[in-house]
Amino acid sequence: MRISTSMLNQSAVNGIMQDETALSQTQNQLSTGKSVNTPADNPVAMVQLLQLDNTSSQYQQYVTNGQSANTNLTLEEQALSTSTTTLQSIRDLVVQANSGANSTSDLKDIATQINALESQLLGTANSQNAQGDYLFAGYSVGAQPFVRGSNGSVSYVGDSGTSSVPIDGGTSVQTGDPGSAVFMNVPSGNGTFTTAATAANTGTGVIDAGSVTDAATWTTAQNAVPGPYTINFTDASDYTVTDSAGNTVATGTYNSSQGGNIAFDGIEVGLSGAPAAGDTFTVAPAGTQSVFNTLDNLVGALNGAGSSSASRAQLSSTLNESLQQIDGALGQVSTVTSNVGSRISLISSVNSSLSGQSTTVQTQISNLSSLDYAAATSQYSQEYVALQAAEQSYAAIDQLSLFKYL
Amino acid sequence: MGDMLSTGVTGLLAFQTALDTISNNISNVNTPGYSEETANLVTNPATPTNNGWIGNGVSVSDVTRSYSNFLDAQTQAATSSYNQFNTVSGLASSINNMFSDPSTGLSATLQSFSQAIQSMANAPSQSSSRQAVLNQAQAVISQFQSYQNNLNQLGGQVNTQIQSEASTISSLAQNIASLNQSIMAAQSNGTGQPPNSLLDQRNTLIDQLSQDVGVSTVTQSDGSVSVFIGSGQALVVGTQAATLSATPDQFNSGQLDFSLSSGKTTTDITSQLSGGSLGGLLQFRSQQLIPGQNALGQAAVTLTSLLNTQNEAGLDQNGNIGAALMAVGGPLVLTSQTNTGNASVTAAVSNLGALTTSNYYLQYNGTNWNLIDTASGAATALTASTAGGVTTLTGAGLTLTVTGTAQAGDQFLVEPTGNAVSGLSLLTTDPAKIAAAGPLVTAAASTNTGSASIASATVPNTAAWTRGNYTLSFTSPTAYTVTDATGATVQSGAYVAGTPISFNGINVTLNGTPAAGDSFTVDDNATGTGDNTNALQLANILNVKVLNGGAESLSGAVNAYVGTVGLQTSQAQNGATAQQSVMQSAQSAQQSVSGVNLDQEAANMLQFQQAYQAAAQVIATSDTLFNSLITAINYVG
Repeated sequence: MRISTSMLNQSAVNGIMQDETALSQTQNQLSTGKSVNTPADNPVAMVQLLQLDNTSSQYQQYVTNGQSANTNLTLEEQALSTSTTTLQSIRDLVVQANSGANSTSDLKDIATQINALESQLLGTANSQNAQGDYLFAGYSVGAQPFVRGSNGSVSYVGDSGTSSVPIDGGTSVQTGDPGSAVFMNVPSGNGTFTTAATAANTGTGVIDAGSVTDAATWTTAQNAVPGPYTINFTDASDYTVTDSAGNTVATGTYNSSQGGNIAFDGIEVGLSGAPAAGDTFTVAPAGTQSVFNTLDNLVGALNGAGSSSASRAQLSSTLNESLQQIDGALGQVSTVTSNVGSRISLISSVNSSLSGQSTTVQTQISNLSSLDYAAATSQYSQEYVALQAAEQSYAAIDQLSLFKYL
Repeated sequence: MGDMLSTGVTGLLAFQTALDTISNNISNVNTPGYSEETANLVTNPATPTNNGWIGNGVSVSDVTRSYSNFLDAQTQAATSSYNQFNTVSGLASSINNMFSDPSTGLSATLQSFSQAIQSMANAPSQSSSRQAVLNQAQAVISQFQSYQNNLNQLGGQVNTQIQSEASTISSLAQNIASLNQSIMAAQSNGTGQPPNSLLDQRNTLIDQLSQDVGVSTVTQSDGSVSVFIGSGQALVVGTQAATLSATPDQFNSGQLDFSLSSGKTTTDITSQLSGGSLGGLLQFRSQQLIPGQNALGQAAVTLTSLLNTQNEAGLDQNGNIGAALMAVGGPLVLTSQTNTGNASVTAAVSNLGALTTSNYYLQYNGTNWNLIDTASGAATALTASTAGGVTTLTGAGLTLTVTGTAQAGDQFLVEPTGNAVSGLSLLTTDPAKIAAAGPLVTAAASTNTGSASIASATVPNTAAWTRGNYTLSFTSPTAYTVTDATGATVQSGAYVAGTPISFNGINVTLNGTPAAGDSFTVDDNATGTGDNTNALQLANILNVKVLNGGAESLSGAVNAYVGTVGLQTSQAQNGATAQQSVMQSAQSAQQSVSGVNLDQEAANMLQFQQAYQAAAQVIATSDTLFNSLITAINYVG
């Protein structure tokens, strides 16, 4: 092909310019260390990078969420632990009061101590976090959840809401428990039924908290005739148990020197002491009671205890019942504590799996966007040599002209 | 002898002309558009004598240029194509560079916004975490606006270039027309010789024109060239040049269109133009700029709509039902200046899933309305209903309301989301207005004996919600009563397992089986400042699949848009590189015919120099011969 002189120059210059463009692109990659510098460099990789960047920062957010939940749960755990200690101290005092060797003033002292511990427990139930949010208020974190009303009883004005935060793609963790689930709805009595000695009893019979021997029979009996039973001593050794409809469900004899169990409808209660003729004891299906209500009743009973043996027997029955309820409260707090503990350990195990996932994502990001320095450097050398060759050959060809020889 | 002298002289003259031509070639070796010229030698007619035909030397018949119409047209086409790709590539790179850093782009900013909401969900009662959400929302808005500003600036740049293209093309057309006149005059002045330099000049101008717009040419018998642009619009015919001007489009949308005026008629030929940098500008505008603005707008509309809807579904820190947090610009409908009817059209977004990134022409043909995609020309399904003189059209995710009377041929430009970002703003500065809490808080009574628990209690539409505390009680496993705080019965009915119980705007779904006497409270969560239920929903709006008929999430759409930008840019860049080689090889093919090669000229020069010297020697010899004859005569005499 015939080459015009200006084209000879032009195509040499075009070639040099193309080589320079390629060299500058490779140089840019080498200086940024990235193979994808704009979306046009690799549109597919760029979209993946955007998604991976989002995923990576979402993982960081999950870690943050976990830390925040952990902070709340740790605070809750501390409050629950304090509550357990307080309830345990109260329990010790109840046992002490029930030992039988206390004077009326001793009982009043114990009542005062229990009262102080109850206030402490109330304070714990109204704990706040660093932001001033109440820990045990459900959703209504802005208002004190446990309030002692004008009638002297403590009521829960929070709600039963529970907040959760996501700590991983599919895992959420509850960040707290409403006070109603911790301090309020404690099953009364032994959880199935409550026992009580009637206040007008004149004997020294003491009823314990009883136990369930056959849950199915109890449920069937309650479904048939719901409501409380009355154990009525017709004389010091004979008793009749009637249900709420007045049907006799059991009769028997009782030996006051040995004490003994009275069994009916799948449960049994233990009696000790000597009931008088006409004394009655009630066994009622358990409802729920707030721990504060229990303690208020306990303090009332201790303060009101007389010195007569009948009065002491009455107190003893109440203390037996209170012990059961405090144990119930301790059990409820312990269940919540163990839930909180397992949430905290869930957060920590999710966190460690998150850091693994996060590393995977970072590796993917790096695979997509990082420059293969070996390949890029070798490409750079090739392009450099090509440019050099183009320049040298142009300079050489440019020397050639027939006019030189004329 | 006389013949010998005159024959020698013809040689001298002819070779001199040839050398003149060669020296002209050498002088113009670097002149753009110059075609190598050749002096064509022909033998003079011989004189017949009894002794045979005696030659009369040589003469130059004409000087012609080396030129190929075909190669020239090929070069022009390649130049047009290259310039179109190169223009698109340059402008597209500007958009491409906006998205160069994945960690600071719109996608990352939206993600930060979502994370700020998640952090707020960790401590919804804290106003600092709420304030952070508002700050991030503002950052998202700023990011949108900054992209929009960049795109608007590119739009302005496109308009400026359109104006300069129009005047460049018009003035080239004028010059070509006047050269046509000169060439026609030169050819008809009787010599019949081609006016090479004028022809070269005209070619150069047409070459220049091909950089600006795709051209095709037809050479007429009178020597003039007719130039057509686009799909056959006459720019130059003979000595008449049309004027190309940049004019506002018929909708006054701020875009400039091209109008061609010849004589008294002016026609908008924008849609027929292609090729060259002008074609590149139009391609960039219709395929990247407008869809880009619309894609951003679509994202802004989606974000606003999802955010507001979710915020309205919850309760703010003051216990009030959440209100809209963000405002966004609505669809624009622009009326054509050529409309003869008095119809006016308004539009509103009615279906996010059907919203596209296209602009549409809404056209009335006398009986029906049609919605035509401005870029592809495809029609979009439109359902119409008329009531009380108002026609409501639904299509492309929009509800279009037509009032007044339209005439056949009337049209409107509908920009569904192009205006969205400019209206984007935060409606509140009060962090308490973020609705982090859900509307309800429920609890089962502690005395419940059945296995039922509340699976969900929702308020599908807070506007239809009668606020208050309610108790849902079961008188039997299959009968329920809802009472309000005063104990008044709101509703009672038969309970069917799995069927939600709905009252006063609340839907309650239970798991398990209730027992007689069981009850649940469904309370107004007005004091629930610690509730993060709605905040978690707010944080999830990026991942809700609402776009493309429910196939794509907001964050997916934003990422996909960046992918589209990258793809279009790399296509334009690759196209420009490919077309550059095509253009260069076309140019070198054209130059291989028309270009000057100095070595060739040197050889030719030597050749004619020697011939000239020989012809001069002929004259000298003739002189010698004549002298010897005279001397002989003198000697005799």
